[in-house]
Amino acid sequence: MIQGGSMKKINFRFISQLIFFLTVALISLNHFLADIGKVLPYIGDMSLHAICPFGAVEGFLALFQYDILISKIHESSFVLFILIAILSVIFGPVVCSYICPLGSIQEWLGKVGRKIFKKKYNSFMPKKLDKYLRYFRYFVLIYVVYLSTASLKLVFLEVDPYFALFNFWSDEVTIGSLIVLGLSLLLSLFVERPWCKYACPFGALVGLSNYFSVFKIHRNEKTCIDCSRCTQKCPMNIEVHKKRTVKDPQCIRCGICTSDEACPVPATVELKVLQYKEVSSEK
Amino acid sequence: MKNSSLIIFISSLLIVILGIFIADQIGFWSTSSSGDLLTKEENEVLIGNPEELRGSSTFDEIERAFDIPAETLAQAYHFDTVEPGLLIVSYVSDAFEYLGEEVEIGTGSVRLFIYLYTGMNVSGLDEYENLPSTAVDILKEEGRWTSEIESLLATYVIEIEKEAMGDEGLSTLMEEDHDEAFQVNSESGLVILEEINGKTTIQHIIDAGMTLEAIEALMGIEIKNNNLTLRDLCDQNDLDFSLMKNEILEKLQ
Repeated sequence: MIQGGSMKKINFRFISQLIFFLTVALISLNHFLADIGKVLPYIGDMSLHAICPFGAVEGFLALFQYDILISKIHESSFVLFILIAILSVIFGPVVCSYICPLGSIQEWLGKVGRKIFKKKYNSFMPKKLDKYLRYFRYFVLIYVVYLSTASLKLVFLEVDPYFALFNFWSDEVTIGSLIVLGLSLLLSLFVERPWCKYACPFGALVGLSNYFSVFKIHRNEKTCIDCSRCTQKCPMNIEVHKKRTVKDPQCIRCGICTSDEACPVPATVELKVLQYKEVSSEK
Repeated sequence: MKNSSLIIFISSLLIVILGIFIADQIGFWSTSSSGDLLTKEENEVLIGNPEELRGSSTFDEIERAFDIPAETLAQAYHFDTVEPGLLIVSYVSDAFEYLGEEVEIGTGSVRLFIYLYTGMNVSGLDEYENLPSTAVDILKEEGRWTSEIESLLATYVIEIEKEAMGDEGLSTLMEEDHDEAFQVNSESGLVILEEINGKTTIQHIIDAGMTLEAIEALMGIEIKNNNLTLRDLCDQNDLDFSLMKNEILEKLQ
């Protein structure tokens, strides 16, 4: 696309988000249509549970301990979890920024919030409170796995905003999950990705791949001009300009901070595999 | 890495699509859970599997999986309703409960009917439940009640003389089904467990008055989680579910 003589970059991340969002929405719609005997051609009509990788996280302990699949969890959830684990080992938690439809819709609403509140957007939360709240998602993760294993039920369904987003018309959706979804979407107008930041148990788990993924976000201190645009643009409020390598478990690898987008200096903030020398100097 | 977003986008698509394709090829990609009546055969065709029939299966699901009209099924089991698709299999045992303990018309009976109606071989079945005469009439109309089948199942047919259960009786069944979890014996304070089905957990049996030790002794196994269903434990330990549920119900009485 040419605009004013310069080539406008194609936003591949947005295309990816759109593809996965529409795919999940169409499968969910088709599942509903299958129930009333009408199915859209060429689109799967499986239940949303079958294409949710978090089901594997909820059910793996029960599978190991009791050799049973918790009701509503399917083998396909385990397959998807393994594929996302592979992606995370290579690139980090890109599932959050390129694939997850709930993350995408929060981000899209965030653009509206940014237009309304301009620079104030994503800075309403007091820093101290924000710091502690970010640990909450680990509590959610541990609690959900513990409860699911003990009760052998999909307890998270009671508050799951992802399921509510694509099944808000169904009887299976609980009031709790609709409230959590509504709150997450509403808060997205003030805070970037509130569900991902503070409560998402799947994000808590895949976020750990920031510590060991093959590719990492790296800032070249020699060429950096300390403009801190990377930090200002980071949706997860990570202070990129103070780090050499971003290993913060909150990073979603959206790449907004990199020299491809926010950073004005070429090859300064990059997603790359660190060379041996760079790793040694970090130590 | 320049153009990292393009590389991640292509990698994500490739890993997800290829991964699902490979998982599907090696038989790991299953999007149906236990209890789904339709299962995939080797040639990728979805076919109905009567063994997956559960008390919670609806007549609509049976219609889709086996091409048996819900209306026909309702007629076979003597229901007279304007919405036969909404009926669930467990209503069958409730509706024929009046025939007494000796007569078994429940999930196994519907399963047997499906086998016969669709022309599947029934000789491989371990046990047969009773068939109401109304179901046999349907099978005769469809030309499925052959002399061979008749000689095999003649003693299993139960003559039905009572009027068909209409919407009024069905709504009572639905209410009972809804209230099932809350029925408590006012004297003992124990939960009343009238029947054991695929969803009955060990905790349900404990709540009905049997101790965990007694259940373990009866089954001959150690139970690690009371929320496991009796059916799952029987399947895992090669125990006969029907036999076990009857023994437990007997002890509870």
